[in-house]
Amino acid sequence: MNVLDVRDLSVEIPTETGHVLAVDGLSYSVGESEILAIVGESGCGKSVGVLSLLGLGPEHARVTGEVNYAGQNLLTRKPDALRRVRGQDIAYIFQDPMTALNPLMPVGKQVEEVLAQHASMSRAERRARVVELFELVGIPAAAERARAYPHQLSGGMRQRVMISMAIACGPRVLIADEPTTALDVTVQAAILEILKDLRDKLGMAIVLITHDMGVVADIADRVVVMYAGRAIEEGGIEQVFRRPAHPYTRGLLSAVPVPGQRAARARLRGIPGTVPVIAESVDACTFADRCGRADEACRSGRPPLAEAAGGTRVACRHPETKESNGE
Amino acid sequence: MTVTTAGTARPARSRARSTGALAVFRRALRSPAGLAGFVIAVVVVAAGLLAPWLSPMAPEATDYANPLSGPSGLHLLGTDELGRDQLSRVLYGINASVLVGLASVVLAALVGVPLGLVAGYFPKVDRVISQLVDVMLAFPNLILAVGLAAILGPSAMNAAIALAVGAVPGFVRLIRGEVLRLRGLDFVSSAIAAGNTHTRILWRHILPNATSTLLVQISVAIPHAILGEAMLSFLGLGIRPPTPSLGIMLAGAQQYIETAWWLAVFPGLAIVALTLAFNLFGDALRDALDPKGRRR
Repeated sequence: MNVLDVRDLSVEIPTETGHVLAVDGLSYSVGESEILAIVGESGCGKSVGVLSLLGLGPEHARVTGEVNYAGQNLLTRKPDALRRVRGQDIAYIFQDPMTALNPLMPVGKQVEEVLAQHASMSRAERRARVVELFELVGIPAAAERARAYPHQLSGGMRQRVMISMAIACGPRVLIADEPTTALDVTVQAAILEILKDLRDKLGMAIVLITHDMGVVADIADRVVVMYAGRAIEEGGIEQVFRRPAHPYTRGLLSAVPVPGQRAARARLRGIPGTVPVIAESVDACTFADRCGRADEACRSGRPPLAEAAGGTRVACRHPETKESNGE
Repeated sequence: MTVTTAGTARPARSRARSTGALAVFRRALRSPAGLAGFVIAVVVVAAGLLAPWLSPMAPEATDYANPLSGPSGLHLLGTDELGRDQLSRVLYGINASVLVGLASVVLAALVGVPLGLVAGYFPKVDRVISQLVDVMLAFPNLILAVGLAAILGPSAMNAAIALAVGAVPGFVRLIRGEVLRLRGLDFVSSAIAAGNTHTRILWRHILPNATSTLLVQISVAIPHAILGEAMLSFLGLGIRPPTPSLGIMLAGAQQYIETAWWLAVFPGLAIVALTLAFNLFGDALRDALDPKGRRR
């Protein structure tokens, strides 16, 4: 049973130099207590894609498609109804915990604010709940920490506060936009552990936006690889890592260092070129210009997402079939 | 620091300067000019507010035996043409000027801050409000105040209203700018993403972060208002005689300027002291809030 079902989502952003199609017909779904990772380079539309689900995208952006949650299309709901869904049913965690907290309010108070907005609780109940939440995300001396101001906490602690704020009202979907990018590697691991733990305890689904294949391998159940606003490959974590079918996915994976491989074989390779900025949906493969195996077919028609040999769904006319380790 | 337990609670990144209102205030007092301004302002304002207890005589009491007498043991700052005690009148005059000045600034802030908040937060409303503000800014402040005071009629309250109207656009602009800046910050986005209502976001997250800037604007607006009040009273559009006001006293002193210097000098000094003190302190506040060394 899917909690969140995104169908054919497109986001068009007007800019001074013309329109930018940030998301182009993106479809995916998230199952009950599933961790779905959306992976891609900077500028591929992954953040805009999730922010637009609840009307948080850029101003004046034109969002089309369907976002089905609890039997309703969120894109057609009124702003106030959407506001109620935010935080209560679907919560966000932002990238930089350094700036995502109000510097003038004690952190516990900030979590209380969310509770005051969505839940009918007395002040004492809210306080108790905050301590409970802080303990849940592994903040030591929770009651005391709740009175601290953001600048008195480390980055990892602040991200924990952000997480506790996001899960305060027991959302069914948690959207984490690069939750560990701004943190140390060691803290990163701890935060990912907390997210996994929360999924197990609270049974909520998590949509994780990242550009880090390591993070994906760590916690995701399923992956959607995005390129220039489109999903180009989708599948279970095992399949995508073992037998990536899209040349771009393959490129991403071979750009990650793997410990233990011999130096000659482990040479890291980048992908030549950069992500194109798309103005309108083109009837071609958007990766063709950077792809070694592109031909006429690639440039004259948009490849549909189809089952590939390795068990993933891939939008490519010439998918890889070999295992990636064999290269 | 309230956090005492060791371990995880290290200050993450030392913030160069806090922008909390209290911290800014403390920093302003650390500069000599700021401290001097603050002390003078407190002394002069206190003297004015305590006028009923401090003044040796009633400000309207006439002493026909000693008209236009210079400073003496009996009348420390001399008397005017009706033999009224200058010291008492200056003290009451400060009282009136400060009250009118503060009232007009408070009034302007009460109107300007909500308008600025709304304008900064809702782009559609902003068009209307900003247009109106631009129109108001097209009129020179003092001319506007004179015109309004003339229409409303001379009284302390009307002077405060007339001066407030001219000060509103400054508050709207300033707060609007602050809201625009704060609205783009992550903690506001995250408050929106957490489903907070606009009202809650404006009052709980945006306004508190704009208070230090507001504080500076208020301290800069006060001397303007005090000068403005003196001007209106000087022109006969503010406080009505026989109630003492620094402006009225200056107006009356004009015809005796060659024979009774004390009539012009002491009220003048009071105005200078008030405006200078507030200006010094206001500047120090602004410096304390300077973006240099401040995390944006």
